Amino acid sequence: MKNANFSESPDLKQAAALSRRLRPDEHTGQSGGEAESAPATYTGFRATGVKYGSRLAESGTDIAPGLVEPDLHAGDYGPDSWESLLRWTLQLTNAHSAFLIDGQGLVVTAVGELGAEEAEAVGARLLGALSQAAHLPENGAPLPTVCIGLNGSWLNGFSVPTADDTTLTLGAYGEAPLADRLRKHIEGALSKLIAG
Amino acid sequence: MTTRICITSQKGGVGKTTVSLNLAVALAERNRRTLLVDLDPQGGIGLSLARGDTAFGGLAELLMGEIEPKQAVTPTKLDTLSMLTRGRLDPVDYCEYEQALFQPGTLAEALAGVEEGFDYVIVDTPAGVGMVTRAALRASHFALLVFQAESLTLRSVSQALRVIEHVQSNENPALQLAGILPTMVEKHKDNSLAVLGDLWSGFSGVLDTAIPRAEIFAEASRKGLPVAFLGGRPSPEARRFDMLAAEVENTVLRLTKTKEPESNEERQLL
Repeated sequence: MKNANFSESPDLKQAAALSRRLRPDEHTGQSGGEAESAPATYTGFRATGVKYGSRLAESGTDIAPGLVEPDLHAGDYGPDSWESLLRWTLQLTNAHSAFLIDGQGLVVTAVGELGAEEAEAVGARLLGALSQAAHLPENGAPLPTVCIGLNGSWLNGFSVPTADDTTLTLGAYGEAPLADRLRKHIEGALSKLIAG
Repeated sequence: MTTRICITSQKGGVGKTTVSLNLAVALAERNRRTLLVDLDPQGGIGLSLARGDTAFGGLAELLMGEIEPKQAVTPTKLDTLSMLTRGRLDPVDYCEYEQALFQPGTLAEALAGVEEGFDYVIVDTPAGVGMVTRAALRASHFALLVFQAESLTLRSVSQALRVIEHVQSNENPALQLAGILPTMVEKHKDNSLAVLGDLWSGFSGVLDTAIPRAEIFAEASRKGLPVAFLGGRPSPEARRFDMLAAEVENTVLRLTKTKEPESNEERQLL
């Protein structure tokens, strides 16, 4: 019943040779000469040399593209779909909470784990950070995205101008910074929603 | 001195936890003060013995500094046997747990804090030769390679042996191969015997003791007991583990002596 192919396998010979090197005190009948001289055929692997994933790592996200990419386009949101937009944002960013803040600084819609009061408090932090960051870009540059480390999570947010010269701010609170490419998708959907 | 023995295998489902538990019990019943350490993130030892996955605090809490070393060790009804279980590790934190253990020195330092007074520390590891197993090999004096007597294990045994040799050469010169232990041996099956034949004829360090595949292990697992603790007459399988404990002890003693440098100094008789 012996597998003739495997009994000649270099893996078996290498394993036997390894065992003899590790336990030279116990010698068995077979010679390990051939295996001792066989070069190892393993590929040396170092995490720092990996060619894939760097783009995602730089953008701070680590999502399974097959699950998320098909939903990158939010589709047509009606004027009553703020909540749908936020739920889509949760799905897209792996955040656990998302909310929208109007031009008066009030949370108008929130979904996820944050309660209403927590959303107000976290929203205030976000607005403070955005107002400071607004001084940074040069004239004409888009409003920035801020990512703040808060209680072991990341609070992400950006503002979109509205027709009445105020802003609508979207916040996403979760385990990763918001990738720029995801912001573009969310911002596009939000702008579309604002335009009606 | 405490001797740390890492129970390892590159393949899952070969009986590592069964061997770890029953070997630790057998050593303890031979009056050796034994600490059974569960490094497997799945907590196989705790699952084998406790009613719930979070029954015992242990290594996770110790590493997080939430409990003192003495609190982390769970005594058993055998005076000579204690356990350092995985602890109440949240399954969503497996990655962090593995990374923490892989940090050089983490496991050795943690073990040093709990092993005082023990003759043997038996370290159960997860399947494969990943970060936790590597950490265990770095911190151990001996590796016991559990080998299921079937073709797939034979095909992959070189992976574990290569890692043991690498750790010995580069990370822990004190590490030695205590032996290769055949498990789930089915003496009435040609394939099992053929694999054993390859092992015995070509490999060095294969132990004389072999653990058969037997229904009693499933029964012991169902009852959450080591095989030696099942009622009735002592089973042949429990006897096997007593033989294994004796063979492991003899091998450890012999290899330890072999590794000690010979003294050229003359001795005084009177």
